[in-house]
Amino acid sequence: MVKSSEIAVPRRVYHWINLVSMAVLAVSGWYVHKPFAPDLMGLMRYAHLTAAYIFSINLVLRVYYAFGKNGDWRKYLKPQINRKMLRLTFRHYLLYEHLPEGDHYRILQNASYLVIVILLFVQIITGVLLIEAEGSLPTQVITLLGGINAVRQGHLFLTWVFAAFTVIHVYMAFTEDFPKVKLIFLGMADEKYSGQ
Amino acid sequence: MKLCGAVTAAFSLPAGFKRDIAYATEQAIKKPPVIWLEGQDCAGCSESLLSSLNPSAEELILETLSIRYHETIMAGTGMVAEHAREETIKEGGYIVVVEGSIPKADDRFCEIGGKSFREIVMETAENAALVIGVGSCASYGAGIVGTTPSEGGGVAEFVKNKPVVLLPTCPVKPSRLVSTIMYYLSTGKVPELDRYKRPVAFYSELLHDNCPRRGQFEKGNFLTDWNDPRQREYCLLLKGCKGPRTYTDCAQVWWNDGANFCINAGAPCAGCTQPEFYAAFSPLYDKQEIFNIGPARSINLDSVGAALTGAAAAGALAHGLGRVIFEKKDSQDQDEDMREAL
Ligand code: SF4
Ligand code: SF4
Repeated sequence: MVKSSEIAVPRRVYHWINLVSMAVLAVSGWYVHKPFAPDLMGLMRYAHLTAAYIFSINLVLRVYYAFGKNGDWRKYLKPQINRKMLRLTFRHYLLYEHLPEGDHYRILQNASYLVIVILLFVQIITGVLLIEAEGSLPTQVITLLGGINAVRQGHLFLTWVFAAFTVIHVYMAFTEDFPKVKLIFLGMADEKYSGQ
Repeated sequence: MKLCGAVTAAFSLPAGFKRDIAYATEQAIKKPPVIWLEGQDCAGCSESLLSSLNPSAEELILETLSIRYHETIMAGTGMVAEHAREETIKEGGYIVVVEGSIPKADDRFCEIGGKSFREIVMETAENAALVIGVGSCASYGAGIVGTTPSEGGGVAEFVKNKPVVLLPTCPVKPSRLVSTIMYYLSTGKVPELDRYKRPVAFYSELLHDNCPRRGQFEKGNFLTDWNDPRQREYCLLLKGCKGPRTYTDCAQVWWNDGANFCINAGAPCAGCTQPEFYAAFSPLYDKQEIFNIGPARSINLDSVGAALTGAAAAGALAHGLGRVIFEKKDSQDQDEDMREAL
């Protein structure tokens, strides 16, 4: 294995912070939802809010980066989806046919990341509404969303959506493109790797 | 005077107001006429008001207000009673208190003296100075989802051209009703209301933030067994407490003239000040995640989420197995296909 700059450092840093803060958010959020051990509520809520701020700032910076000089927004906002590519991708997923070398199969994956990022922003908004429910703007937004209970349930439901997504994400990353896992976590590549 | 002090405090008015309120109250000759209407109700709000000690029921009915019409407590019946209501309407400037919801599905679900309750409310509100909806039913048309074919609605959904104040809780808290009336009489103004037409003075703070059991919540002590004496003071979250979603001053201004309130008495908050009560907050004694959106009613959110994630995991597993069994070796033509495609 050799050092590789295939995936730029900011993207790797983002991915790490994202992973850790999301893990903290999931565990502490679950504790607030269903306390599984005594005496930790204060700590868990503190952890949840701290991780939430780190996560949000991280996400905003990543979006900023995506539109910057070396940004990769095109990949997410303009995925090159066409029928042939879809056909091949689905044959690949369902019939295990090989896809050609390169980044092509990730076109759909990138599109799914776009959806997830939008949902992450929705999650941030619902989270903020839950802690800052009393101002006049939050009040209006909460009413629009159907009341504080609906906001809370939305926050919880999205958590489940992310959990399901994470399962698929991890499975796909490890089985479809293991070299990329090494790239994003360690910045290391097998010499032969030709993905992106 | 004690009551006037309470009203002043409740609305955070300057101390001088106490005198104004006392003055207004003393204008006993000009006692404000009140018409109390009961629709799809249980008379619980009336009971609640009548059990009030300060002011006492006698004081309230005989001295403070001039209740012209009240189905439960009035002496007159039939035409005589209806006549009293009609006379008061002609006089104008009275206060209408509405208890219970108004059927939306069909007028015939609630009729009094052959007249639909909806019509009664509309015609009584016509000359009113102020309309007060008391209790959760009159406020939101609260009901148990699926069991109320009458589709009860709140009074504000019907009365549009008059100031409407809503005082939800099940039943109405007497101090709130009396304070609201006193405030209106002494200032001539409707108190500041929130988005649900509830007076900000009573409904602006989250119960959970003022709860006497909040310390236990922070510590993570949650009552799971009602019979365990060690858990007596624990937070009631896992027993279905809706305090974290309920805006009310229950923790500061206790019920029954300061005797107690739900959580302090060991009962989880049912969230009775909120529009979500009862449908979206049920079951009462369980930490619930029941969806309240269209057809998704009464589906448990955590079950949906677990199913979703489980399906993803099962799918990944199946796909992984399939991969081991069926995966084809590299094929040159597919590569070409793909290149053309892109
Ligand atoms: S009893 Fe209810 S309101 Fe009180 S701290 Fe627990 S959850 Fe919050
Ligand atoms: S504590 Fe909750 S259930 Fe009890 S009266 Fe107050 S808002 Fe209603």
